Amino acid sequence: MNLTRETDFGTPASSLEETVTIEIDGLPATVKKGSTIMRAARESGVDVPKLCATDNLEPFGSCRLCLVEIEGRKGYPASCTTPVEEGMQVRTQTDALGYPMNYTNEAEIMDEIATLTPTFQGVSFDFLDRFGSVQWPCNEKAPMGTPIMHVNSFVRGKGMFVETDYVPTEERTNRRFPLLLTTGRTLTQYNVGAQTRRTANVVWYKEDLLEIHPHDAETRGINEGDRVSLTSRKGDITLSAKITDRVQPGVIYTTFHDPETGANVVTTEYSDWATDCPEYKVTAVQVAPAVHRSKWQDGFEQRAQQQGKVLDPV
Amino acid sequence: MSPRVTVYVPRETAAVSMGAHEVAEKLAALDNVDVVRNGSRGMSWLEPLVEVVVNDERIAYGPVSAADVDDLVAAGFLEGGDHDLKIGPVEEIPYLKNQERWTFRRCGLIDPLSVEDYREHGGFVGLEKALGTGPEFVREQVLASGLRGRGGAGFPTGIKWQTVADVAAPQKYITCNADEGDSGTFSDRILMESDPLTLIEGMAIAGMAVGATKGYVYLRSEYPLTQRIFTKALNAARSAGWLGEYIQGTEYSFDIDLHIGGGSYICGEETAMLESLEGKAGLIRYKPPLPAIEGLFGKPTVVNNVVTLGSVPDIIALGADVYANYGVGRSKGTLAFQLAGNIKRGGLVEKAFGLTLRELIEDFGAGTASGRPIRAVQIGGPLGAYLADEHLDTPLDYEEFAKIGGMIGHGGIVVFDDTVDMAAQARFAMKFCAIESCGKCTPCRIGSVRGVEVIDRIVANENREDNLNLLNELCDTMIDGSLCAMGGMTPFPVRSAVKYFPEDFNK
Repeated sequence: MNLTRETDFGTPASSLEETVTIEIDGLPATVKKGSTIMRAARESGVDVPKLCATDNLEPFGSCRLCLVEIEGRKGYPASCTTPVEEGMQVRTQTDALGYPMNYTNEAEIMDEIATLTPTFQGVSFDFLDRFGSVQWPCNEKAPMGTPIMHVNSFVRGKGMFVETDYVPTEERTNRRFPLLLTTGRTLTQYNVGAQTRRTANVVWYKEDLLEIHPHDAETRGINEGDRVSLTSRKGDITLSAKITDRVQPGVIYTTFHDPETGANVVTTEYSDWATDCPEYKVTAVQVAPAVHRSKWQDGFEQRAQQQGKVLDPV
Repeated sequence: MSPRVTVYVPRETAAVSMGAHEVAEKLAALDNVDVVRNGSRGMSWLEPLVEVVVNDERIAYGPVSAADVDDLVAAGFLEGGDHDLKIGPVEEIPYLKNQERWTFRRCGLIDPLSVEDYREHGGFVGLEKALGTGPEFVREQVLASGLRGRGGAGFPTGIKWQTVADVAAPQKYITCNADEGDSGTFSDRILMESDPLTLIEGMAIAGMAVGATKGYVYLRSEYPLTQRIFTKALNAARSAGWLGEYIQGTEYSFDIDLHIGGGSYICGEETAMLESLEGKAGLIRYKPPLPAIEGLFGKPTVVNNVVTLGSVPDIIALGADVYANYGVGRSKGTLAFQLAGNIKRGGLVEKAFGLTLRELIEDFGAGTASGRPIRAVQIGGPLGAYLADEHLDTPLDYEEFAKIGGMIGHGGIVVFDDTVDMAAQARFAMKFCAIESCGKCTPCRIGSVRGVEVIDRIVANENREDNLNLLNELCDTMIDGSLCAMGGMTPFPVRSAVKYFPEDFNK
């Protein structure tokens, strides 16, 4: 038997086409007019707790679990029965809503993390100030940290391997999406680069580039350094082309080190059956010369600027 | 043969419960007496208050029982003769003389079912003027008068009417909330029994002002006599052409249905009342949408209290500025305060806003019935805060009361003497909420039950400090999380009892 996991948005979708933009916990969310705050939150990835609300029913307003705060409004309206309004500022987690955030400095936050996460116990700002860098866990067995986590064996002995059959992805190329995209990392950057893009490594690697074979580039009229669009069944982005025979004809490659490039806007939702590891190596795509950035990239920059304002208020 | 004498005997519930029908029967049996069944003057402690017309002056005797009648006749009361029960000219009784009667000015004065009597005392002047001047003028006047909802919330009536008027809809409704369930309140009942045509006139004015042709009065089932009187009044108004199609030959039509409630306190909350009027169980609706936009049967609806609507005719007849001259600050006009509980002279006192609670309780009410000192006063019904002696000099004004954590509400004042157990009163507040909650929202439905349990533990001295903190947190949850004022305000009497009378929780 399969368990189908579907997102429940809490309240029915609005039938209106017009959109409004509100702010939920400091982040902008653009949703259809006539949506409830609960639906707007879920659509933008913020979970508001609920018991009495579900997609298939008109909101009822009974359980009162979904209360939120709205800037400039009295009291604590239920998010399931309150329609969104342009410019509304909603907070889903505050002291009054039962999520105490009475921190006076960052050290208190670290202390809370240490109480909740066993591997961080013993790590505090004070400890780090006195002893410099340590490697977790710092516990009774290793008060000064654990440079090597597993020596000679793991907790249960040797590593365990299980044999499994190869299950190929269902993603296929066709005439609209004739190329296969593979994404990966380069040596000089790590993942989304939060830790490495602020180092001098950017001299070697400034931005995500689309590596494309000379044949594929020529048939599409793409020259070295051209801005190109990369489109899959799921989404599209733009980035600069790098022509190289490092990749095979029919296959293109890019990295995912710059969040503003958004490589995973293009990749599929497929994942493997055992561990849900996403399939980032096989996405059917098309590449074409481009002038503008993609819509997603425009939105990303806008959001990044707004977040910057939250972090560093004017 | 001696000349005929007119004697007034009230037909209002309080008087009837004290034997007014029997008194009236006995008097009517006398061959030279014409008995007129008037309404109540609002001096409940004197009921049945019998008035004899002597030289065009009404002389009051009370409280009169059927057994007193022979004795009174023997003492010559039909000529105004002296008797232990004689009070004197009714208009000179200080309790009545010192009031500022506006909405209730005809109460007790007239035969409530006589359209002629009503007309003679300034009735239907407001509606006549409204029919001539049109809806915009009426709405402007109501807004300018500063009239606020007398049901408890104090929302400006003019703004509510304007909202309904501004919505385009094929059908709109006027609903009158007569589900008078607050403890110590009876002003709606007195008006509907003593001068029902005032309410009918006020509703008709509201109807033409917002473009509604249909009105509903939602009357609580505990008022059977009111039902009978008001039904007769509706028929009288219809026969005289003041209700129904083309009122007095104008383009405006308006009619009223009387609907009897099912005995639930929560149906006094406007959205539950609308549900109940629609024939459903009285569950709270969430807002928005406001009833003014989507109310009864999904149509724009005015929901006003009896006294609010009853104050309108004279605002139109005499002018908004006359009404606005009464009162203080943003609390304009008069309010019908009702003295009840442990009080010597219980009854209705209509006064301009601004007098103090102490003046009301001591000057009008003459202190407690038991003669013992006042310890606590609850004003605004079962959801109102308990006030202590230190608050009694606060002027009666919506905003001033909000400052001390109290509320005037519907104007019901319940007095307690020094024998009251305030922990029991706090427990009762939670118990009342548990019984009367509509059950729709969790903080009210479950919070009230847990509230009773926590108060029981506090009184039994089980972890008293912890439980007091828990009670405080529970109160926060109920105030912040409840769907309507039932759960949202139940903590007010509880918290005020804990705050002003902590010794009662610490025995």
